[in-house]
Amino acid sequence: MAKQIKGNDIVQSDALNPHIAELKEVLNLYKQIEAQVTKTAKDIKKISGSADANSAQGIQKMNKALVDSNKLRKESIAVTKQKKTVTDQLRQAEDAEVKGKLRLLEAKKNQRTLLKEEIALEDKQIGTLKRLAIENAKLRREREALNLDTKKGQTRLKEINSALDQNNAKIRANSDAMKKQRLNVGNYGKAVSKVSGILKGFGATLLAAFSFQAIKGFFTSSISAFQSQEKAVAKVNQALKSTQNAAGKTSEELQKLAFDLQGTTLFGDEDILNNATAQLLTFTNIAGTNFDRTQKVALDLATVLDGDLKSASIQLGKALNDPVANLSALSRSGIQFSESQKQVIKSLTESGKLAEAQTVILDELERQYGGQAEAAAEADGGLTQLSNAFGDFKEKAGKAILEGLKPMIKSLKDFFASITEKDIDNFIKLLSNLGKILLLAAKAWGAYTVATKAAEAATRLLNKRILVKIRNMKVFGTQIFKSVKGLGLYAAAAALVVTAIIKIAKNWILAKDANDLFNETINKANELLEVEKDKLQLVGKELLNTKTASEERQKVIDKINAEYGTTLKNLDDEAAFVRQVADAYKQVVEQLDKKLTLQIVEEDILDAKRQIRELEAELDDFGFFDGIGEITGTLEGEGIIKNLNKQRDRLALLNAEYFDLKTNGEQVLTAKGSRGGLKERIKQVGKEAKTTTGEVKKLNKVLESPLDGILDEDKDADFESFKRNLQQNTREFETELRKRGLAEKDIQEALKERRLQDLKDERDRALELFGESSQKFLDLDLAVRREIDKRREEDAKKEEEEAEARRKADEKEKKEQLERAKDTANKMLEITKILADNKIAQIDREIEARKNEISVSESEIGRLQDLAAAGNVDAAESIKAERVRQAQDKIEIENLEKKKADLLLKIATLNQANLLFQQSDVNGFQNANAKVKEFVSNLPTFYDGTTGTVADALGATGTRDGHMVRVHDNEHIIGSNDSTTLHAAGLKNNADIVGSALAYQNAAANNKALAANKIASFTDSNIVSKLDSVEKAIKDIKIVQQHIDLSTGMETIVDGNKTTRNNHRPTSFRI
Amino acid sequence: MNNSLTGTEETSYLGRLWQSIEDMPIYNWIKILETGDLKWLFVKNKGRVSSRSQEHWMELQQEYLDEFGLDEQYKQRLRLTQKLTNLNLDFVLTGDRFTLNLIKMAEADIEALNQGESVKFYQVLDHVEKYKGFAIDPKKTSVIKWYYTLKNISDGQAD
Repeated sequence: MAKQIKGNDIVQSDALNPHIAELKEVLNLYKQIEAQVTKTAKDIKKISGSADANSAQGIQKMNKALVDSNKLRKESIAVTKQKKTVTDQLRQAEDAEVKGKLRLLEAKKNQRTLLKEEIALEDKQIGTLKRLAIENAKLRREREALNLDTKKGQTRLKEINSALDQNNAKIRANSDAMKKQRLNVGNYGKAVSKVSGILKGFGATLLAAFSFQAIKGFFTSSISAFQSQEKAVAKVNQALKSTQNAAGKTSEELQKLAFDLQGTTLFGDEDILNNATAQLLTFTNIAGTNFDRTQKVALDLATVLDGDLKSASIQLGKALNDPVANLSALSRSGIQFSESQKQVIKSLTESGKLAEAQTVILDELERQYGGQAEAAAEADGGLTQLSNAFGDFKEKAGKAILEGLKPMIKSLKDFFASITEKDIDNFIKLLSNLGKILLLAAKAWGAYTVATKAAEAATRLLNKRILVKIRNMKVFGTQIFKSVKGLGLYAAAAALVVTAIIKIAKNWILAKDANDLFNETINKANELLEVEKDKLQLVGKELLNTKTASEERQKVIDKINAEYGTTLKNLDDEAAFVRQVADAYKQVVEQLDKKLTLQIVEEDILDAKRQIRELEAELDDFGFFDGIGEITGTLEGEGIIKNLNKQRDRLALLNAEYFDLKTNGEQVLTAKGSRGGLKERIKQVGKEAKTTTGEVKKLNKVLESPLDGILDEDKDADFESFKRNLQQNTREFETELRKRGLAEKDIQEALKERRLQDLKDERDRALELFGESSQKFLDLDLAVRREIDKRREEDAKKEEEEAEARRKADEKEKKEQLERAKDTANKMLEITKILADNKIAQIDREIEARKNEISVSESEIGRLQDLAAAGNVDAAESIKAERVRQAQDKIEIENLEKKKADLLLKIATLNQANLLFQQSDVNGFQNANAKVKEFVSNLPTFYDGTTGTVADALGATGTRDGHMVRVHDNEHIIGSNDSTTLHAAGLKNNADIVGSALAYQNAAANNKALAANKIASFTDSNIVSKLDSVEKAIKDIKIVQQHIDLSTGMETIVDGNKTTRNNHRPTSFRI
Repeated sequence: MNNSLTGTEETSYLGRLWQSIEDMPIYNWIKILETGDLKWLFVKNKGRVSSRSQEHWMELQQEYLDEFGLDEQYKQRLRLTQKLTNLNLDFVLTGDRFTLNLIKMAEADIEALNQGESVKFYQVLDHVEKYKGFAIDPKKTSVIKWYYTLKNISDGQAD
């Protein structure tokens, strides 16, 4: 037995997948680069477009844009080039992958042919001729592959030619023996031809009897067959006449030759006469024995050239008629002559020895192709010959009918004129019974036709994968069995009835009791039929169950022979016929079983897609379902079945694609992370597969009837086979994954998914086979649901764990962020403090400077006062100016103090906020924020106030009485002596004066706040309370508002909720 | 560490550069144009070249542009530059290979401009000195003065 070819022997079907994936990845990368280049180009365009040619920067931009765009252009060209290279590589890889798959399929196909031959050779039952034919085929294949340039090749060529010669000799010898045996076919033909001879007599009766629609078809085909035969003969006669019988043959001789050849080949005699004899006769140089040999070789050649007899005959005829001119035409059909042979043929022809030249050609042709037609007939199991023999029967029946009709037509008129209506009624009743019997016979003929086709199909189906069709085949087989086993019986019945009809026809008018006679005959026939039916069924059983004829069988056949005499003397031939049919059927089933076994082993989804498609086409050509419909008349909906099969094919295809994509997808996901496109594609394919599965289910529902026809054990076997298939595929899938070196975890994950899918498939299959209410389906459905629930739970748990991990990671990240933020805050605060300290130092220096100026000014005033005392008139003015300057300096000092206080407060606040922040937990941001916000929002509004004392302003301690205003302890009091000076300095109204006075109030508040701030020992627990203390300290500052109406001398003091009014009489104050 | 200069540092830095085309000698100007080396921006012809010096060079060029504008040849060059840039970008965006022909044509046009009679600075200086009748020290002649001299000669207004 030849080693079965696995995918890896030819090409590793997925070997290129990683390469393709890599190329796709690179291509994707180039696309990204391309996108980036495009984006950059747009950016540059924007920049270049906005560049101003009148500015140096614009010109620089334009120049830079040119440089960049040049670079970009070069890069774009390079990327395009590289992308094209990668695309080409990808295409090549994909092509190589497809080619690899095709080579694999081709190799498998060849392997199957070899396998078939080897199986056939190992089969001890195989006929010699078939074995030889197979061996010859193998030798010829080997010869084609030889390298004739080498010595070894030439030696082998000789050996092969020699072996072929030997085999052909054996074939010829065997076909001669076979001719003698002829498998009873010829006898059968002769037997039925005798029946047809009897038919000649019954004319009008037969015409009437066969008026039933069911019989009409038989007659039509009989007449047609006869006419076709007649036409073929006429054609031959015409050819003989027009060539003036150049072939040296009579029409009868040629017909006999054709008839004989029909017995040993697959060609019918009318086919031979029409397409070989008549054609060859037109070549007037072929005559005598060479004509016979040529015709035979034409059949052999036609067998090799797929049965085109006409072409083969013409080709041969041309070559033999004029070898010099037309010999080369044969080489186009693969018929090779050596140079020496050609030379011989040429010289013989040229020397006028054409017949000898033809002999050389025919010798070589017989050596190369001899016995092919007979071997084909042998391989066919004799069924085509049976068909041809039955064709003969029909031809003869047709002839009888036509010839019988001619004399009867005239008498029919008389006959119909003489019969009464009653006669007609009775006769119709009789004919009705007769018709039923003949209808059965016709059905038997239908069964025979189908059986013939089945046998034909058996050979063809050997190479086909028909996992899907096997159930239908079984149904079909059952029907054949039922019909076939009674075939001989019906033939016998038909003969009996025909005899009765003949009698009736002869005695119709003379015998008044014709009706009774007919009834009697029919009854007798029925009785005999019943008896014989049992016997024949027994024969049928034996024929089907035993390999050799038993004595019992022989007895039955002998008895039947004795019973029916000469009419049915060939009933044993009938039995042989039945056996052949039954064997043919058996062969079909056996071959299909073998095929099924092979199928399971060789299951390959891609291959199945191709093979099933081929099978569909073949079955369509074969008319498989037509045959079934002819017998049963019940099986309908071929269209639906085809559709179903198509959908199944589609499903298989999608499954294959899904498998590949899924495997690739998992690999890519494992290696590189998610790939959106691929995942989407997998999803899409999955969806399609699901949709198709739905369609298949629907169609299955429609087709419940054919499925119902399957026996329960068939369903179980089918289901088990389906399960085994799934398991096998899953094992292969696992092996594949491991081969690819995936991580164990990923493999387990993929297998888990795969097993769930398998479980679903099993459930769907159970639904399809056993129905929704079957225990198997319910169990599997429950298992699927449980599995899905389990997955969901696992997923949920996994998700929860992931969420927890994410939460922890977030927390950690937050902590780290917080630590970094704390560090940054510390540093920032340090910097801020340094800056603030610098600023404060600067303020202090400025204050000091101002104070110095005041001090200098005081000295100047002292000097001026001396001058004034000395009588200098300008001194007084200068003193006034100095006073104003001093006042300005003081105001400036106040402002600077205020700034300083503000800074200190801000730093203190920041410090506290930072300390709070430093002590805080992960929520420190929010807490610190909230606290600082609260603190700031609760700060009181600062009012302008004054600092200093009355003495500062007036140079003397002021009291309530003697002064214009009374203010709070901490307020300035502006004395009457200085009011003019103040006004001259720009403080023209009370608002200005009060504003100036209140300025110091802030500083006081700040000082208090800072005092509170200083006590803060910033522990974790008391930060907030210290902040509160600061807030409280600030709130506690009492701000006094003072309003003085300078025109009336009315003073209003607002101190918290208390308002005091004092009436001062203006004495020295003036506006 | 922040690389930007503080106000004082910047003032100090810029103080070491030629402040304007009014004081920058044409010698330095030409050197920068010829070599691209911005050290010639420094009064002492040496110093640390930074982005700030680049900016300063742009400012000086802008000053020149404001004063003299662009000559027609340079405008033409800019137009071609713009055209070539656009063609380059069109090619990248459309992938139309015919554009490559147009690009070659534009490049040839620019090349033709570049192949115009190229005159060295010292040749010009020599002409100007002859025209003026006295020697000109490029290290002591400001950029603006130099170009005005050229402009005037070109306008026929020089004395």
